[in-house]
Formats: sequence, structure tokens, C-alpha cells
Amino acid sequence: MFSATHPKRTDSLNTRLPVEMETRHDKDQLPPTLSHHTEDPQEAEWNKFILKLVETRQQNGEDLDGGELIGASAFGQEGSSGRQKTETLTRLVVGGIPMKLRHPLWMELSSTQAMMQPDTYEHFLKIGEDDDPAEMEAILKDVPRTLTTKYDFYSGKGFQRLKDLLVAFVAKYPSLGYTQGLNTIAGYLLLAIPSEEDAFWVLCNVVENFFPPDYFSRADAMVSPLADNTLLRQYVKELMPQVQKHMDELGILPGHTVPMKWFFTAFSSALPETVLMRLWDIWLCIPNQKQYLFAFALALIAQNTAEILECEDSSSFFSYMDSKIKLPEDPEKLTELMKQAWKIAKKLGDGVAVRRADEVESTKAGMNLENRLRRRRTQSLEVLVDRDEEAGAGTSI
Amino acid sequence: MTDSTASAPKPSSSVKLVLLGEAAVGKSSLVLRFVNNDFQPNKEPTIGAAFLTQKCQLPSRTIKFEIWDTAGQERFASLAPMYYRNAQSALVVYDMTKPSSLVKAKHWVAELQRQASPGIVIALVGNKLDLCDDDDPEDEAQDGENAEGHEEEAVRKVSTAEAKAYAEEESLLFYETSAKTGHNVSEVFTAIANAIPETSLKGPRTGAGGGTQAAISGGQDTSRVNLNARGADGAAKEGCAC
Repeated sequence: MFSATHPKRTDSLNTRLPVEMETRHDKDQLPPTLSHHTEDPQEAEWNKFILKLVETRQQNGEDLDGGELIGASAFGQEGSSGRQKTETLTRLVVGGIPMKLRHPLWMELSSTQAMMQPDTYEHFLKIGEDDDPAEMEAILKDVPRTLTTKYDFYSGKGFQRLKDLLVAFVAKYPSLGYTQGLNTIAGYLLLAIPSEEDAFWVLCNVVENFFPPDYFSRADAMVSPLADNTLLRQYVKELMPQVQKHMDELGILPGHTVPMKWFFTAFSSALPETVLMRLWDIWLCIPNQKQYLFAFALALIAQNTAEILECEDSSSFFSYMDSKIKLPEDPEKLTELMKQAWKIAKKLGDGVAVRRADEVESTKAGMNLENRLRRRRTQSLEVLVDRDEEAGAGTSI
Repeated sequence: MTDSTASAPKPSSSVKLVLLGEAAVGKSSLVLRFVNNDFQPNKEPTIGAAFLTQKCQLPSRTIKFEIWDTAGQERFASLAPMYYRNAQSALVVYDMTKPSSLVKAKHWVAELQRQASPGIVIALVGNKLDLCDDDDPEDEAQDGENAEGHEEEAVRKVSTAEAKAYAEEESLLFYETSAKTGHNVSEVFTAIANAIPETSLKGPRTGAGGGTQAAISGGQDTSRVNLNARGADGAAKEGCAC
């Protein structure tokens, strides 16, 4: 019932609570995350909410088979009761989606279902066999070393599925190709979404619509992620001037503000799975939260202000940001952090996208200038010193 | 950060080191071996760059390596200058079972010589020696006992002589290592520490502007040119230590 390709679902929603529903994972393909059951008080709330929705929709004579689990797109036309449902749904998503519900909810609420084209996954998979051999080699190299600090999954049972997904992705987007980091993003998607095809479409949706434009572009490699870092620094300056001042004192250049992997992998190379999944719940499932990752980075910095201010030199700063950043451990504190990021996202509004576009342009120009300067460096150091002084802030990396 | 706690306090200096090389040649594994004395098969690829530190004790002083371990995929190459800028040392790594990775290593060496700080100490490192279980490095056909499960038929494809000749020509330190067994790993870092010219060493950081190294302590964009190039060609190039 979750997607057009799998219309068969015989078990009734009434006999099983939603979070207890089986996923479509084959038993021997089960990703590790789903194999241990956790008692989550959050689940009871989700059950209550979804059962109520189902009941109402059934009373209204809706055919629920092959449709969406929540039917959130209809809330807008339901007046105050719709608003109330939206509010409840938002609160539940911010509190975290149970692992077993992530598949249908990510599909529905990120509007991935809407962009799916039947049978095209098979098509891309097939033409993917002719992918550039260099791309293929890179994929084959990375799949078995995906999420290996946590699981053996992709060097074993999960190998073929992740490989297929990435091969199909490269076939669909030849101008992007394969970038390291996509393996980690796709690796997590496949843990939450047992259907390879569905996970493929979420990846496409995420790259096309959730990441800022040109993030994985081959032609302008790294320009957009680098611009994000520089832009982040400007926001640090505006929102946390004391942190900015300290970073300046330590000599941290804007391009080094946070580790590249934060934005480039949508935090999947930087956060533990539990935190990451909560972050993605909000990023993917709540409308107009595409800037949420950016806001989350600011919230993380804010929460780690004391530790950052204690860094005595650039070395301790880089070490801290790279691997020691403090995250809340219990779920409630984590929810607090998510809410704080939420507030920041609200404050930033649409301005981020506009400012990012400017920053991308100047980063591009800066990188070009850098290259020109480097080429001349061999000619005359003295001249370069002068030029550097003139160049000023244009070169921000 | 702090001085060594050893009973006889030695002077301590920070040295910035960058790792460069093709994807999956073992850069992160070399660092993991050096920093934690550990090895993980199937280590996850590095995105952007990772930052680690490790101290190296020399008889006369303590060197604190500040290590930027960069991503190997070509896509990330445009970021490399951010990490090798003002580095005093570089470890350029290739996989001795993969000739194309030596070609890539040569590109990195050329770029460093052209664009990094003059006087940068560069070590060329051929990694995955454990896959080349041969006593005679010239014998390329020998398929020794293969310890690594995944790499079928992975045998030496780059001879010691070839790489060594290139390293000598370019005045690079040269080592063949195995991050897996630990062979020669600490030796590389020690050799680099020894080769850093005394004049370019500085004490522990004291905050902004305190260092002589323009490096990342400059804070201004104008610090992009390393004014600390006085060590140029002063590096003790004692040739190959292998």
C-alpha cells in the first residue's frame, strides 16, 4: 500500500498497530537497525494518531489501498481540523518517527511518491551497466566500505542493493556522476527504506530538491559546499558574535568553519545514526525545512559554544569540530536541540537561499582567482604578496 | 597544546602535515595506524578531510603533527589547497598494487612543488606492502600469500626501484609501508619530523599571530602566501631511509 509497485497488502491496519507493521525487508536482507526492537513511548502516540486518521478516512469512504499512509496533502483543505492534524503531525515528526514508519512517511511527506516514474528504476539499472568504468570502479570500491564503523551490512548482504542503487543513480544523472559521500547517504536510506527502488527515488529527490543546487555537480565540484561553509560563518557572526570572534582569533578561515562532511553528506558522515535519523525526519518530512540542516549546524555550534571558546589553538578547534562535538544523548534533550534548530530555521527564513546564491558566485570567483594566483606564484613571490593584499576578502577559502 | 609531561621537558613544536593521494590507497589507514596503532579493513572513505593530531618523540624535541587527511576522489581535489596551504610536510601515498595511483602521486608531488610552501618536506609512500609478499621487489609476477581477503590477485605492480628512483630525482623521502601490519608507518613520520628544518619549527601555539608560520594562524586572507619560506631548500634531504 505504500507505493504503486507494491499494491499487495493483505493485513488489515485494524489488526496491527502501524508501528508494528512489517516492513518489506526480506528476513535475510534485514538491515541491522530493524533487527532489534525498541520500546519507544513515541510509538504509542504515532499509533494513536495514525489509527485515528485511518478511521476517519475509512468513514469518509476513502480507498486506502495503494494510497498514502497519512494523507497529509489533504490537511490543507480541512480547515481547523486539518490545521490541528498538521500541528500534531509536526510535533510527532520533531519528536522522531519510529524506524518502521520511516519508509512510508519519508516517501509520502517528502513528496517522493509524487516524483516516482514506474519502471524507470529498472531502466536506469540496465543502462547503468554502461556507466563510465571509472565511476563503476569508484562505486565498487566504496560500497563495501559504507557505514563499516557500525555494520558489516554493505560488505555482505547489502552489497548488491547499494551497488545497484548507486549505479542506477549515476545512469540517471550522468552530469553528476558518483561522489564519495553519496554512498553514505544512500546507505542510510536503504537502512530505513527496505525497497531499493523507493530508496533510489528518495535519493533522487534529496539530491534534486533538498540539497542546494549543484551540490554534487562535476563541473563546479565543491563550490556549493564550500560556499555553504562561508555563508555559515556569516551567520555565526550575526548570531553568535563571541564565537565568531574566537574563531577569528584562532585563525580559522571561513571555508574551515565546520568540517566539509557536515553539509556534504547531510550529516550522515558526522552524526550517530539515532541523531541523524531524527534530523532527516524533520528535513524530509516537514514542508519548507530545506534549510533545516543549515540551521541545525548553527544550533550545534550554539550548543557547543563553551567548548569552542575553550579551544586554545586552531589544532584543538579542528579536532573538536571533526570528532569531539558534543551531542545530547537522551531523546528529550535531543528534541530540545531539534527545536532550537527549528527556531533558528524560522529566523533565517528564505534569506539563506538568496545569500547562498551570492556566496556561490563569489566562491566561484575566489576559486578562480586562487588558481590564477597559484599559477603565477612560481614567477614572483613579491608581486604575489602585493596582489594578495589587493585581493582581500574576495578569496575566502 | 601543552608541553610534554616527560620528566625532562623537551622543546615541543607543531608541524602541519597533509596527506594526499588517490582514493583507497590507504591514507586514512596510515593515519589510523600512526595515531591509534589500529587498523580497520574496509575503512570508510574520507569526505572533505579529517583532522587528527599525534606527537612524535625525537631525542631532542617533541613534534606534534597536525594532520589533514584529505579525500582521495578527484572531485575533492579542488579543496586540496585549503589543506596543504602552509603545510610544512606532506605524505603523498600510492598503492603499490595499482600503477595508476603512482601516476596520481606524481601529480600531487608536482602540484606541491609548484604551489605549496617552498621547503615543504615531502615523503612518497607506497602502501599495502602486506599484499606484496615478495622478497624480490623486481619480481612482479610473484603472487605471494595474500593476507587480505577482498583483494584477489593483488600483487605488486610498482617496483621499489622505480618509485625509489623517482623519489631520489625529486628529493623526496621514500618508504614502503603497510598500514595493516604497521610496517614502516612510524618510521615515515619520524623521518619527516627529522627532516623538518630546525628553523621552521616553532613552539606551541600561543594564540593569534603568535606563530611565525603564516599557516592558519594568520586569520587574514592576506596570509595565503607563506612568508615563512626561509626554510626553502634547507630541509635535510638525507635521501631515502628505506
